[in-house]
Amino acid sequence: MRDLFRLCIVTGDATVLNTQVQSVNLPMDFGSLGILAHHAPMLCTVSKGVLRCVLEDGNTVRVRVSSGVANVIDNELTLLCSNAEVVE
Amino acid sequence: MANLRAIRTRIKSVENTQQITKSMKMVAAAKLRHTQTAFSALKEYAKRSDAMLRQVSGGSADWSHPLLTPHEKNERVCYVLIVGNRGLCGTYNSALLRYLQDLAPQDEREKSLVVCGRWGRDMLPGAGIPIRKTFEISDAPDGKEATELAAYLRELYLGGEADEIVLVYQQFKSVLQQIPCTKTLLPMNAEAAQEKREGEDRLWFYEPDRASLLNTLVDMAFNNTVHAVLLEARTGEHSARMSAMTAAADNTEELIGELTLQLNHARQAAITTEISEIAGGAEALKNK
Repeated sequence: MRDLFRLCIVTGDATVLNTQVQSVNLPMDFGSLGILAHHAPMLCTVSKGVLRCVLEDGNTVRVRVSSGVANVIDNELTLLCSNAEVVE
Repeated sequence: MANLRAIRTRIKSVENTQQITKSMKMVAAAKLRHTQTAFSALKEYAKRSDAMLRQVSGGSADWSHPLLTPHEKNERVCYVLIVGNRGLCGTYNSALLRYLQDLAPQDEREKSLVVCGRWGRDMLPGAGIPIRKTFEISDAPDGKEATELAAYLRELYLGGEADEIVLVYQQFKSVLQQIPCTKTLLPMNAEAAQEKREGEDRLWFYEPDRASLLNTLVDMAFNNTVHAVLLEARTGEHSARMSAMTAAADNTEELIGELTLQLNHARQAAITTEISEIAGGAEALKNK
């Protein structure tokens, strides 16, 4: 099994997602950026789009996010944005 | 008997008032819960964005942001008064207005006012300070309303129309206690940004670059501050209304008690009179 890390998507109204994941694909200005566990510390802007993450059980969840800021540190990815909703 | 009917009508009308105050209390309680939940969610968001700001501003790099830089001249102050949307909340609004009226004359700078809340729009003209703009803020302010207000205030500051922007609102201490207070919004005093972290930077990658991330995060912190203050003010308003309505419901209870006592007295007196009349009549018939 692949190593896991924590993904937190927080908006001004609520914490939309706080779970262990295998990988995350962030929408960025230049395309998308894939992140796995033990990623080097990073701070980046995220553009409006759909974020894809693979959960611990292998299922993929898609989250529609507005532009915001993402931070990877200590095996935790935090994404702050004004709006986010899980796509069914 | 007319007296009895008058008392009954009175009791009925007090009962109606009681129903209204009780439902207003429940509405205020529900809104209070809603804003309190929103406030704690925002705290989490603000905590994380401050942590990011701290990371990016750490180290020895020199940087500045227009919202953090005071103007050279400090001649114009703009007060942002955050009042309620309506009355029936005890002294919540009037105490704040009085506080502003006491505060403003002590400041010799040129003053202007931005009002948030419907009560202010209706009641304020005549407070003596020219009003720049009035914002309608809902009972549970969301990020959009906060961003709109924040954008206007930012323009005011950056455009040089105000050298200092001061928020005047009721600080939420507890459900029973709100205290009028002021808070300087601009120039910003972002502790997180100004704190110079010792040691080397822990971050390796910045995308697109450090300066623009700093700008984004300072803007974020600014919006968060405005949103948090709006939520705090509204939380205070709802709890003030809840306390006022609880007191009103208790008073009606007391009043109904007193009126019922009066009603019973009057009824008893009427019965006594009736009995003595019957007894008198019977006595008169016996003597015939």
